Amino acid sequence: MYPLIHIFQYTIPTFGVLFLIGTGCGFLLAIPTAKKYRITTMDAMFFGLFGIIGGIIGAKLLYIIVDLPNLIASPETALIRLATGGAVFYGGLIGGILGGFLYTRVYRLDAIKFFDIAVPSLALAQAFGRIGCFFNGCCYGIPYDGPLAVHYPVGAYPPSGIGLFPAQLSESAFLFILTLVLMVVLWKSRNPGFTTGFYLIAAGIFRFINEFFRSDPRGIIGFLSTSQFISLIVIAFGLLFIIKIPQTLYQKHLKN
Amino acid sequence: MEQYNNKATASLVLGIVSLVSIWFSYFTIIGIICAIIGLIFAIQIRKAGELEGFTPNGMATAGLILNIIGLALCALVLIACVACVGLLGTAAMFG
Repeated sequence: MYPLIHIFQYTIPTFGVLFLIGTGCGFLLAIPTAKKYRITTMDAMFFGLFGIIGGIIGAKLLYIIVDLPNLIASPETALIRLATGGAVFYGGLIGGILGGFLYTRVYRLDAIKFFDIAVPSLALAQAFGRIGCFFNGCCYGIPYDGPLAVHYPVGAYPPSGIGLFPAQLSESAFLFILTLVLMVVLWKSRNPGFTTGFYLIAAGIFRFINEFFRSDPRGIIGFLSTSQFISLIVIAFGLLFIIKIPQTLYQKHLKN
Repeated sequence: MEQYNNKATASLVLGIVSLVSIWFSYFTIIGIICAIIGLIFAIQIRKAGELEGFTPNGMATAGLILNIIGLALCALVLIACVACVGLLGTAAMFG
């Protein structure tokens, strides 16, 4: 719809603005949330910053790995392509988790509690990011003519002239509700790690279902889309957290 | 705080460089790298201050703030739809 915003003579991607708003709101949400485990605001903020740094490095690294054949084949454009764009989401996700984990390792803090605090903020930031996807025109839905169908203008990435299912907005709405639910779950939880498991399972299940309503070109593994396959892995991790296997392993690791 | 003075200066300089790099569109990637390094320095100084009991001086605080702003603005300028690029990337691998 509005993939770019023009301010004076600068052109900035709408997705970037929403990503920043989402990140900012996520950090703000962490201030009251961190009190659950008596984590100082400074620690929570720095954990988040390390996570973002890790995410940026991870996204770029995975892009380089995935695109290596192309980069080597045409080295003169490689530097430009690296400098002006190119990032892989899952690299960012894994990098972010590792970045946050590194912070807890260096300063000897309990990682599982930090992840529990981070999870509502993560859901909130994702919700804003999905609105950005809607404006950007990526991750669009299947052809659909019922209420709330979305029509993109000619020239946008999704096909124009037909109604599309609002897949990005439905995921965004779900994530906003999930943020509230996670806040309640976190406040009432007595086991560190339960909130993380809850988030992984809920987000994984929703993503799996939502993928059936998307029709943008994306990778396929067997009869599932790549995201559905990864969602199954995410749900499995969530179940592990619910039955406390990572927490026990982590406690043993801390004792050594 | 004395042993961290050099780090604080470096953090401040890197923050300024990252902000300036926004005006040079192809060098924003260098701005992000500078902001990341400067931010790590600033966080190290802050945490050391908390653990060892001194208050970081103004330069370290300025470094922290400038690097956060620099990181945010550089990311804003550089970011495309990351999730979609990723999925297109994997589509290319499996398609």
